[in-house]
Amino acid sequence: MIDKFKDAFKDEASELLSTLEDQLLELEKNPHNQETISAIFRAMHTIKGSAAMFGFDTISHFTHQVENAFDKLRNGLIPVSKHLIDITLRARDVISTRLAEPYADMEQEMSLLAKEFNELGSETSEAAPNTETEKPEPQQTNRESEGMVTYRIHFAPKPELFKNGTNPFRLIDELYELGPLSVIVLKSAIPPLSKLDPESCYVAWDMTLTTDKGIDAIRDVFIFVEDLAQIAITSTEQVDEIKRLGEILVDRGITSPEVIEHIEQNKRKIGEVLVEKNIAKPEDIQSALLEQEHLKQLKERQEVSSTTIRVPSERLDVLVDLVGELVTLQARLAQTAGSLQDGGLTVISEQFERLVSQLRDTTMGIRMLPIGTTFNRFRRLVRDLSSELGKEIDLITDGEETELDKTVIEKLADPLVHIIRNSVDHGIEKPEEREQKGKPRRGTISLSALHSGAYVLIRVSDDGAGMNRERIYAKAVEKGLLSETIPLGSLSDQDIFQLVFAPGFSTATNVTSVSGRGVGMDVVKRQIDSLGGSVLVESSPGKGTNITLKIPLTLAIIDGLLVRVANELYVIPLSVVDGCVEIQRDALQLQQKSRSILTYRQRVLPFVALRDLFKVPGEKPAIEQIVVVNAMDTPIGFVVDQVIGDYQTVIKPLGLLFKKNDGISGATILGDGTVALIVDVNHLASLAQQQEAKKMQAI
Amino acid sequence: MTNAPHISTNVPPQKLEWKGALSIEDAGPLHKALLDAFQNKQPIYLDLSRVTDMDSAIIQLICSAFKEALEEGMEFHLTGTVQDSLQSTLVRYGFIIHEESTGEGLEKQWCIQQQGSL
Repeated sequence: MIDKFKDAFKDEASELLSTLEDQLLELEKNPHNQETISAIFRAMHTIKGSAAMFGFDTISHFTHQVENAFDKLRNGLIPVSKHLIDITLRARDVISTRLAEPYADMEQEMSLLAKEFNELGSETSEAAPNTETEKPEPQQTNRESEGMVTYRIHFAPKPELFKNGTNPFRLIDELYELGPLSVIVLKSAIPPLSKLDPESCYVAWDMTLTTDKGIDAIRDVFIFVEDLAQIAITSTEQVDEIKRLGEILVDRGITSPEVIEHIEQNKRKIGEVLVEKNIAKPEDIQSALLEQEHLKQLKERQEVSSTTIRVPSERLDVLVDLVGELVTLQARLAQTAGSLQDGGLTVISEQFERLVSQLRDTTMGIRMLPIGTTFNRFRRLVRDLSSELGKEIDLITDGEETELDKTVIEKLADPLVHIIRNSVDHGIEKPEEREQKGKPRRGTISLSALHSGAYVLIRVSDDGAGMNRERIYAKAVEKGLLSETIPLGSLSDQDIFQLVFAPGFSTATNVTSVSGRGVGMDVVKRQIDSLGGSVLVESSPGKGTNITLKIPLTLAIIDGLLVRVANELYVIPLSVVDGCVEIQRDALQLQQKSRSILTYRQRVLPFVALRDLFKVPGEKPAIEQIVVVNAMDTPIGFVVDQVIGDYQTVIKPLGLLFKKNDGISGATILGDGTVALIVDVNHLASLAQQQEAKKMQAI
Repeated sequence: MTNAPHISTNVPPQKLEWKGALSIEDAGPLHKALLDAFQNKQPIYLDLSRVTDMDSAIIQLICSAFKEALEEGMEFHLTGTVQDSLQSTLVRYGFIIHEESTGEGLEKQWCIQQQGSL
């Protein structure tokens, strides 16, 4: 049982530590942000408290030292410095390691850091190393900002308010800026038309405001109309339960508890009775009701924000598997209903299909996570690497909210680390070198994500040196990755840039601890391929490099196009399909004498028969179909016997025995229980290209 | 919005129509026009469908008209579809509790409150 709580603590702590990292980096950027300082302090405080509770005493003691330092910072005793951020980040790492491996030997690092934290306060700010900023401003408002308080505001302007040129709406607007506000107008003082001066103000307002800005902020709103209005501001007691109407009226001094009790005993509506007996005006009741409603809404909002639950990811995986089974079963039901030609069954099958597809989308939605969680860790990476290499680099991120399947996100982290490392190490030049080239000292790496159809595009761009065609070519020849007989001029930029993904390729003249050991980019390529994605490199010398990863949204269930070759069934992912064309065999044969190309939408389209690629025996039919797909952004046609139609494809991995099968990425089970193979379009396209090249060489 | 009161002249006097964003500068002329209409002792219909916004001086003028009607035993009605911008002003500054898209609905919310508070 206690282990369960310990696990929960570890989960919570690692979440806190990951936000702590972001906050520390944020503080480095904005050293005066009191809110960030408080947030860091709170995170440390929570970790300290929970750690002690679950017996992680070493962590608790250690965190206490860090917390002390931040308390000094809060009180303006020490400034924010690079040194402070550095040691706090190191402390964060120590806590994180210690949590993951309770027996890890961290004592030395811990006592070293603790010493550094202790020394922080004893130095004067002049003597502190790397002091980059002046003392933070003393904070007076911090105490006030700690809690939300609900205030009742009664605002009754005098008749001459309008003549003074004041628009009461603007004052109310200012109150809205302070927090959730409920407003009710009091109209009882308005006279009938014949007695009305149209330029006098007769209305008043009762308002309920919940804010953390303090009563002075409210008073400030009315500062210029103090003489022109009656203003009463009172704070209400903080209670968890929503007050009853009677209680609010008593609170407001409109009636006494005894009266309310008397009315309640007679089981009558308080508002009605009080108005009837002239104890309260209807407006008083309305105003009190509004306050009650205001508090109710506030409470609901708080409750809504706290209704997330933590679920182990294995359970989600099981759920996805089950939904996958259900999708397969539904296909079978549809098929059976179709063959039995039973109207009733068909209706049920169709309704079932609708529900299943909703269930599928919802389940997939649960697995979607914003990619921002992955982005955050790169801030730290770029910061540490650039200071290690003596470079100045900013990381800009965009599209953090873009959602991707959780398994895809997990598999993306490593490739992105490699790419960003490369950008920091090889891409961005040293500050002096940049200045010589007329570039700003600080380099920029930008990391962005955006949705594009069934894919997410993740782009890492830098404004560094760019890739050098000649050097890549020379290196590739040297490493035997490219034959010397192929001249550099005959290779496109894409061909050259793709070489960096070859295993064992690295052009860096210096092997650093960061990168340059020739592993990395081939890992990137392999990982992205395994995700069914592709990598595109664009680079211009002196200007920088863009690396774009194109990743499918999900790996579990996709929309596919079911096709047939002889008796074999294949699924082509619908997201890459551009169109289908029909072609007579005679015409095809005529063309095949030269090369396998045809004209499609006024463009030359190479095509290849799946029958040949997969060596399917049998006669070709007289009329064949060509499915046009985009493989690595170039169109290619696959010749099949028949296009059957779109199909919800639950992807099943192939067994180890079939892992090496080129051109197949997985399998799916059809409604009747037969297996269809899922075509790996990118792989197949490059296979076809190789075959074509061989054919050309033979000629 | 200052000089011309926003009242159409081609409808009978009991049918009034206001237009545009009305503010305290328009309050005087509109007040006079309403008083004139009350002189006729006929039911009055005020169309708000072309009003984009009002400030508190104008809204209190309408409330005042309801009181006048109640005191004089006359009929005063709001008509037309209320524009979204006006609705949100009325809700934002506490003149109505729920958004209301018709003049009739507005009148209902105001009248109940009005009668209660008299």
